[in-house]
Amino acid sequence: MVGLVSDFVFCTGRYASGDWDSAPLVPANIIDSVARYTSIAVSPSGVVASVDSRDVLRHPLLYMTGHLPVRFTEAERRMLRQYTRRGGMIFLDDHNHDIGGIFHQTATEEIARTWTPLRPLPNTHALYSCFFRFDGPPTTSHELNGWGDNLIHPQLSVVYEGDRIAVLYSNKDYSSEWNYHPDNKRFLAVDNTRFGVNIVVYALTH
Amino acid sequence: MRSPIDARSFEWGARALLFATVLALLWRVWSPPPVAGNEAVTSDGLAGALQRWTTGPAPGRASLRIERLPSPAERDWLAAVVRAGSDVEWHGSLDAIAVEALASAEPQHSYVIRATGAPGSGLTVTDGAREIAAIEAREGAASVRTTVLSGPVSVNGRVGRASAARPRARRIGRVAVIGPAGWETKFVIAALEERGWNVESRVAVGPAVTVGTLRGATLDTSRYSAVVVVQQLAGGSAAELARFVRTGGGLIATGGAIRDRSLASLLPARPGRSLGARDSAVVTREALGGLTLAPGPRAAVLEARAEAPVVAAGRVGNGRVIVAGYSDTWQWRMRGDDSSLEAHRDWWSAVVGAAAYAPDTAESVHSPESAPLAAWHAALGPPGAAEPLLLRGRRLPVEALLFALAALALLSEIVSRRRRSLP
Repeated sequence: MVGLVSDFVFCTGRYASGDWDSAPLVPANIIDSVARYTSIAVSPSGVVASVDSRDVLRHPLLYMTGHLPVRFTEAERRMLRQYTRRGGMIFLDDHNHDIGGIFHQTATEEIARTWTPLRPLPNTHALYSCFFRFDGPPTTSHELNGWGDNLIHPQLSVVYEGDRIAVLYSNKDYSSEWNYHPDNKRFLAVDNTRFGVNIVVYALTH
Repeated sequence: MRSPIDARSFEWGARALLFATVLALLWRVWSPPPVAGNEAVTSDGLAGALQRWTTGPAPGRASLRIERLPSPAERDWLAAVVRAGSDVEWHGSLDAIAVEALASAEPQHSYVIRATGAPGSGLTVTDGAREIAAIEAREGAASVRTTVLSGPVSVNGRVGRASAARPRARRIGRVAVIGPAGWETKFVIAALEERGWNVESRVAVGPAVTVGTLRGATLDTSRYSAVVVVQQLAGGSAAELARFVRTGGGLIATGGAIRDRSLASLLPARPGRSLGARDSAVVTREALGGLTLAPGPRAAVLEARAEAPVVAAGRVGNGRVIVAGYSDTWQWRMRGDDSSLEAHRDWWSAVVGAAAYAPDTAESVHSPESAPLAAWHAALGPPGAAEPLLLRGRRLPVEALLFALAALALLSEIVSRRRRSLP
């Protein structure tokens, strides 16, 4: 709307290596939750932007995921560095949900190469209380069943830009947990996408 | 042909002249300089002349040609000589140089240094500890902003040096930002924090849910310097904001706040027509979308796009209010060129600083050294109408004339004796 501030648009990052589009229902699910629980003006559909193009700068929150090895090109690294320096925040989720998995190994190497090595995020961080309250990162069903490593990963990891989260890295496999049609939320006792709302609210307020 | 008696008389005359000129030279060397009467001095000789005029008799009339501004001590010394009765006239065409140091209302650029000099000339700005900047006085003036000043500020140029005392920093309070959860609110907060402002925010994220550190605190100038409003306000907030502004606080309205009817009486401009954003790969401030403004009769237009106002300011009571019609300045920061991140921070900090309540903590200190040419004119008056002849060329000293005369007398005597075949 002209004259007022623009709507929030959920953006998924497309990178050259790996399978960036492995969780296609996550954007719609998070958009549904943001519209359902908050007063944030949100665009009803998400967009995809290549992380080596300036298009990505239109959307200061970027969701990235995948199962396969991640190797950023030099152009992708340069643009992603610029993106976070200017104030953007990246949520990068390991769709493999296992420790020592190939996505985890390569993604953390790329993060260290592009920015700095990841640091653990304290479970008392504002991310866990800026909208819904959590005692730490919510566990996912994949951490506890036979598909995963049967380990609960106690903390998320981050790269800071000043005192702000620039890169939020999860190997809890929220991409599997949230990859379902929003209509099916009615079958859940507790909406498991609420932490996604916190990520959006944090990105919009910090 | 001269007779030998005439020749001898001539030689005696030449010897007498030689003897007299040598005596005169010796007297010139050992006697005090004759300072009474007229004297002409240049910039290089001014220090010596002042000493001479003080330890001996001062000249009745002196002409001074200057190529650079004398030091404050020389200026005051010369003024004292004038007050003691000497008639001093000066000549020379000097470029003005001046400096002014001001405390600003921005935390990271706490001081603004404004300097004047000859158009296009280079100026070096220093304080007591370092060189702050080397600047060019385009069109005769330039300014520098700095966070820290150590001692007095000096500006050095080709014609001289100007200096000003360090002003006392202004007291700057917090900034409250009230807005909806969105990129504009986020990046306004970020820009101000990155420029050193202490920001407290209240960001609406749900029907009755806000996040941020601005919770229940009364808006008053003892705690807050300015409030940035990015959305329409809830009932009751406008009255509190009006009290804050009338007592001196600053208000910046942007985004939805421009259309807030409860704020209309405070705003110096009404919303005008829509301003479409120019879509381009690299966003500039000139390409941002938003609203044009219809300024009220007492509003000052700060920025305009194709003659349509987009930023306007006005006074309400003791406070200042700025309306910014841009809707998405964050796009400029995220999608601009390499300088846009800094430019976005600077712009928001300057807008808030222009409205912020930031009282001076002390009276400004002015000294004559901040504008030395003006001080020179005040002390010595305007330059003389015409440069005296003596100053136009290099003066031939008396000693040289006496030496030439002695040499001529000696030569004449030798020639005369040779003509008489004497050794």
